[in-house]
Amino acid sequence: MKKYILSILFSLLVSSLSIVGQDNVARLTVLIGSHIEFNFNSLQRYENGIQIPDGTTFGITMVDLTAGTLTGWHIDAQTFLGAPDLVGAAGNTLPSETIQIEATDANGNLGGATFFGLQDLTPVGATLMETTDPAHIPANPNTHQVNISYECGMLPANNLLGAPSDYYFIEIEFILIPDF
Amino acid sequence: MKKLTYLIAGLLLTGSVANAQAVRDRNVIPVAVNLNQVLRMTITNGGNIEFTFNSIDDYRFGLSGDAGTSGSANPASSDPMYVSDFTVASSTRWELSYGSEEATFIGTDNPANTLTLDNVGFGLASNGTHVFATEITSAPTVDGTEISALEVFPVVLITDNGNVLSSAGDVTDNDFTITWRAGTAEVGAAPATMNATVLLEQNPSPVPDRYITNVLFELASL
Repeated sequence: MKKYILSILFSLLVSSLSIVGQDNVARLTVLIGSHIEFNFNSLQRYENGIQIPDGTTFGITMVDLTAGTLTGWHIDAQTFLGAPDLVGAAGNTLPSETIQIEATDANGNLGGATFFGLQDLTPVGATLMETTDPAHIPANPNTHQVNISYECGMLPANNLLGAPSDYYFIEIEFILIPDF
Repeated sequence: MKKLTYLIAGLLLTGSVANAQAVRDRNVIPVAVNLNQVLRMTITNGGNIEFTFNSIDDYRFGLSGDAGTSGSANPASSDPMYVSDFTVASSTRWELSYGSEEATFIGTDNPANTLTLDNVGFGLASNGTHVFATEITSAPTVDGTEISALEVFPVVLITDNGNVLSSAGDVTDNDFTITWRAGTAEVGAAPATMNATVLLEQNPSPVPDRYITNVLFELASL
């Protein structure tokens, strides 16, 4: 009888267990450009804005652990913790849309991917690129790399001529997301 | 009994959960925007203005860089003589103050001789893309429509109009001409008007001398 009860209890314990695993491996590695700075020190720069082409290079790691259900991956960008503005050291602010971001293929190995061009930096975020090309799974940071270009004050709507002088700061969050 | 135990255990096991999850990764890039102040005023023409009165008509009608409209004694061809041109380049909204360094003109030969500042006046024109009452405003000249008397420093001559369109810009945006006059007695609606009496009619008559003062300009960021 005792043996019988123990068996039931053991069975109940086992039934409460859950097995947790992961479907994939994802890693976004900064290879170049972990810090970006726009320095406005002439009227020409104020009038035309500043572009930093390929300021950051990301290496992509993406591995499917589900034997075929991973269909692709994409990269989003948004302000960190939903910050709406760049904040100056003296308390001035600039809207986050002052900065635009664009992703491009860094070394020609993401030919089948879709790149969405310049996107405003916003708290909501935007997708910079996506791929469903089977050749991009698995992705390796040595071969699958994405460049990020930055623009500041280049659009008429966010021209910085007239903006208070200050040292403004914001953090941009890039997210590598698997698609199933 | 053993079989029953295994059966129950097997049934319970079917209720256990096997979860899997998609893994994503994040990275944060700090971005800084350093806005350095650009603020420059350049006088491109007319950095030294000198009026020479040497005829009765000069004393009666005055001398002006705007001879065509001021009724001054000097011929219209001498217009460029009494103008100062200057430009402002600024990355922020700006304000230009001006004024005489001294409370009066002071005689060079005899410093005891003085001449009141309001014997000299000026008009102001914007030659750039920034215009009065839009990007900029000028209270002393009522946005460039009136002749103002010279005043003691500091007086705000041009400032940002608070418009959506900023006064910030380069030298093609902020390009100005000051047209000077002396003894023309032009009295209008400016806050500070010129002396209404020409030099010839003033009592006491100004003592002949060479009267000078420095006119200071100060450009500030807003």
